[in-house]
Amino acid sequence: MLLKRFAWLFVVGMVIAGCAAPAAVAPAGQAAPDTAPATPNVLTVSSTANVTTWDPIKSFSTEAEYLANLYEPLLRINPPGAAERFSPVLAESWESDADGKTWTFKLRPNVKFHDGEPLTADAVKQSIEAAKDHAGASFIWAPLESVEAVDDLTVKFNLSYAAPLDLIASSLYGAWIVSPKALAAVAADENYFEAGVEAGTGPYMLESYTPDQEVLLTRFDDYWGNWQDGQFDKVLVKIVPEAVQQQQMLEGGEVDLALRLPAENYASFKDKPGYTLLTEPSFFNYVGFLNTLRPPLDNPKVRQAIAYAIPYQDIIDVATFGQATQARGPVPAGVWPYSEEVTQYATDLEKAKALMAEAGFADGGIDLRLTYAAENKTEERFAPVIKDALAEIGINVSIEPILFNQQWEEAKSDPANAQDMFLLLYWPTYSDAGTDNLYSMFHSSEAPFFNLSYWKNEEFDTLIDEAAMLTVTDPDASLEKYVKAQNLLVDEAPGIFFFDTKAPFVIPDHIGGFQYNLNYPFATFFYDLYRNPAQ
Amino acid sequence: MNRLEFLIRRIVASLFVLIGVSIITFMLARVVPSNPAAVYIGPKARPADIERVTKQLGLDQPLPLQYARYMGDLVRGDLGNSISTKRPVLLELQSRLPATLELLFAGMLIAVLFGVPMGVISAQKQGKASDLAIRVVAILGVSIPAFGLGLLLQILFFRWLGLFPLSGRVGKELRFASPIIENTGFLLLDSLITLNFTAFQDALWHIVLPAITLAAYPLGLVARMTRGAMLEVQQQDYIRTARAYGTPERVTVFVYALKNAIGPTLTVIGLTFAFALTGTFFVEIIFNWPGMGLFTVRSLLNLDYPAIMGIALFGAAGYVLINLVVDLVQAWIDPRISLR
Amino acid sequence: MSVIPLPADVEIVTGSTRGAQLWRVLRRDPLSIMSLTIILIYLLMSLFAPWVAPYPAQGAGKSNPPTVMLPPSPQHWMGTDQLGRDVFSRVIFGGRPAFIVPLLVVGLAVLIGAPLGAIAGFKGGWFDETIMRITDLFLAFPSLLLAMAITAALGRGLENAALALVISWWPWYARIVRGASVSLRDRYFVEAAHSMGVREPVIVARHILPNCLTPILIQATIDLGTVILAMGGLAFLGMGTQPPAADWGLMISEGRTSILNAWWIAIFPMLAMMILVLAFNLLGDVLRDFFDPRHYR
Repeated sequence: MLLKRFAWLFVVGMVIAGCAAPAAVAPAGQAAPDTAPATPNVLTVSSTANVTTWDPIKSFSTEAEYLANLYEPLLRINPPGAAERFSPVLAESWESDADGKTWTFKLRPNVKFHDGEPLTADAVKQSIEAAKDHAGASFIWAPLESVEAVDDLTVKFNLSYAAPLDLIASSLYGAWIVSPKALAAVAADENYFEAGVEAGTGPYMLESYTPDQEVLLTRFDDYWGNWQDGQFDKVLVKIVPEAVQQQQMLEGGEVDLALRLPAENYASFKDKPGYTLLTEPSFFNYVGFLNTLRPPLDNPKVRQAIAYAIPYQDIIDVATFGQATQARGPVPAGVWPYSEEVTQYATDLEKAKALMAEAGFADGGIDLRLTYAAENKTEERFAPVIKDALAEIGINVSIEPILFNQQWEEAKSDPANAQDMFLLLYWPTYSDAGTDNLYSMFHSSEAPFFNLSYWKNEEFDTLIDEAAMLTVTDPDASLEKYVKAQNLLVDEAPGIFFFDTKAPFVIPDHIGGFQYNLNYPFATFFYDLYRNPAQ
Repeated sequence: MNRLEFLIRRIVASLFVLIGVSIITFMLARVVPSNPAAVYIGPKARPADIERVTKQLGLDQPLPLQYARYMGDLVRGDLGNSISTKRPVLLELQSRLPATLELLFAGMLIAVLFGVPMGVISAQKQGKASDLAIRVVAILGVSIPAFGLGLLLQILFFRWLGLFPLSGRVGKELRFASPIIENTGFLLLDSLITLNFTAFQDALWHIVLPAITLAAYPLGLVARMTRGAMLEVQQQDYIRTARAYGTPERVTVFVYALKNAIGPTLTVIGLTFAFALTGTFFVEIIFNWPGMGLFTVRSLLNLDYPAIMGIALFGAAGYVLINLVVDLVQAWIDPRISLR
Repeated sequence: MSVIPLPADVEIVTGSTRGAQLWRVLRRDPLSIMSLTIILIYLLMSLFAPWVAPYPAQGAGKSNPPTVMLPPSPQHWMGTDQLGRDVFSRVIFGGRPAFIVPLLVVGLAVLIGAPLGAIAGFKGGWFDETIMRITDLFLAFPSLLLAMAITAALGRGLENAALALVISWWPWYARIVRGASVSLRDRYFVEAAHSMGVREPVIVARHILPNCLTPILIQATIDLGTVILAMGGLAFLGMGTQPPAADWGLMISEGRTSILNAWWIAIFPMLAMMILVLAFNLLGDVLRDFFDPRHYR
């Protein structure tokens, strides 16, 4: 009798489950009817991007995904292969004088911030000065001496040395123009923005933010770029840390666009009807620093042996499922000053063994400690491959995953006793890998920062210092010096250059206008997107 | 010892426990071999910036002073700012607590609603096939890791059957069609109060899989416990007497026997309630449920020590509170149990 | 996580008689025999993993790019993972951190908790008071949260995770043994020893601890399932065993990203974990029924 009642309870439960089930499934497949005027055209996106700050000046992390739609810089750099190198955004035109030390920008008229303030030269001056003072990426403004508001819509930048200010002003971080009203408010209260406040000029405004859950953007009706049919009224970004969950949401119709899928699953979308698979070059590459302060890695021959022993293609296959290309030095393909003339190591075990013998390690007997960022799943996959490959030439590697901040802290504080190999995912802050990647990772310095090989080479230092000065005035001469420096770097091998990653995207057929710009790696510009009319 | 005195003693003891917990977590947070200031600014911060933030966060002060400052702020209800979100820790905890509690209550409801009858039936049919089946289910419940069960349920009910949503608390359609006006943060409650039945159904459908996943462990415990208690009670004279008098079996079992078996069952429910708190970590990760568990794991991974301390204090307070309530309720149900 | 109270009317018998009695019960119960067999098989496979696993190098972490994500087949009974490693071999190797280490954790927790509890119960007074307040403090935390906080502070890794679990678990044993110790304190043989001038540490070691052995043993068996799950949880969160080593919790976490097209990577380690925990729980049930037939938990 009891059992019967129990069974009955269970059946009722199942019936309830059965009845309401359609509610959970049906709306996913079919979009709400377009005729209903009350229903906004909403783009739903899943992203891993967390918000570490809403302060556009301080921002230096994944929140750029959202901020890049709320705020705008003076200009944007186009992806490689575009007809024009730059696109005007808040500036209509700009020029530099012959010595590259004075730059003048003419601003777009009649632009409004979301808080109603007009865009003026003074707003630009204040934003840039705040950025130079305390931005997360304040160092990009290092060459800047002063900013002048010449008239209401003209801004003049005075530099202490010739620098590519067009590149700097198009940086993803530290170059957003913010309403002066908000800048004054944040000066009074440091956490002014953190409640989810924004004051940009971008196409979207921040409607609501629920930490770890969602970011809702809504269109700014007075946007200077105007709006067209099909563009989205609202963008709902769901924060979903797990890639595999994003894939399930995309395939189940819960989101229109999933920005991160598991690396191993992209290939399955290649011929899947209803989707397009895009594979774009990216800003990111993987470097392995070798500790040049200590034997045996102070010996270039051992370092070269390691460079020859690394199975580059296996690493690319295992870590990215083929979505990468072997790196040429630390400059990612498509970013200045990348060049095909920079040499690469090809995997060659015999050569590696010969070099080990020359260095006096014919019988191996070397123990090395490799650290990588525990949060980085890609490194987690290829670190063991390095271990296995180096075992072939008598090097015993012990692998240690540590949280990035701890790994970095250890590497910076005590180089002489630090790790032997340090895996790092790196990207330039703005589109100049000469003053960033090459300088930050391999120029010598008093205290190590990102130069975690602790390498000191005067010839290399001089070459890239000189090249940086010529970037604006004589790009060809600059590139020549950069190439020479990079070949020296590759030959000396203080670092191993693994691969430049590619950024894969799966775009469903009903979403149009998707364009990836490698210069803005953490951003998706939702303004470009529109809903394709149903076929 | 009367009840009031007992209550006061317990509360004072709990306060000491909480102070101890704050010291332990504070120490733990400070032995972390990482610079919180560097975490605060993010990657690629320059040394000068790190120095500035170190000062600003008071990290250059001696430890006891830092602790004193922390406790001072705590008394005023200020738990500091989270390093990873830059928002007040108290606000972060408050905004996430309803989601976790809703999940916790739903899970415990399932565990009790199904666990108790299962235990009763199992005891009734001792040795029969239904007893065996229920015992197997109960023991499976306590043997399967929550993160594994969650994955299985997702694949089965979302991927294959399409019966329940994958993750989150509400569906995207609802976000604009009939948004829930939040008063309490408990979406089921909020949608009911505002008579928003579409939203209620949607929220209900979202909570089913996570709640089942969370319930598995407590359900197993509750069923086993109830069975044991029922078996014992059935040996008692008054039950035999009731049977001998020809009292209907249903009444005998559910009125006389269950009433007396409920005391020990309650203890287990209380214990598992606290235990389920840690279960929510995994359930929230698997189902992307925006509660305390997700925040805890993120804070631990980011070494967000103000958040970790806040969570530890919150968690310990909740734990102490549950235990206190269980003791009191038990004493109320069964006065024979002495108040220690 | 239930605690067995030592029955008030516990009969004081020597360990061996009790053991023999237990064995007689276990021998007649098919479920117990099955559980014991499973546990024994797991133990042997974990201990002799390098000899049992078909691909020992891959079990220990060596990648094999040519055989990435193959479904189960006669060559790879449980398929291969994203790095081309044999999942079966890794499940076997994973038993070391996922099973052997929890065994050590519980053992260590007993070694710390039992003597402290015995002395506390025997001596009473300030020592008892101090120990009990400390255990209060630890028991005020959900054990897993405490273990997670400790691991986060010490740094991730198997050793630290194990240490964190020991720190979170010893108070439970201190509690049980103290209870038993208090009830033994006034027994005639303890008092006799006392009056004969036997030193206190000797009394604790000779008379108190051996008599607490059975409740400790049962509690440890019951706890093992929980500790295995906790250890798996830490590994799943990335706080326990670090790759490329194998550990069931870690394997489930690694396999999770591929669950849509390579279910075997996550499912087999999960089954392995579940079956072992099941075996401990079944055995724990039988033990409880035997020693404390009236208990509820």
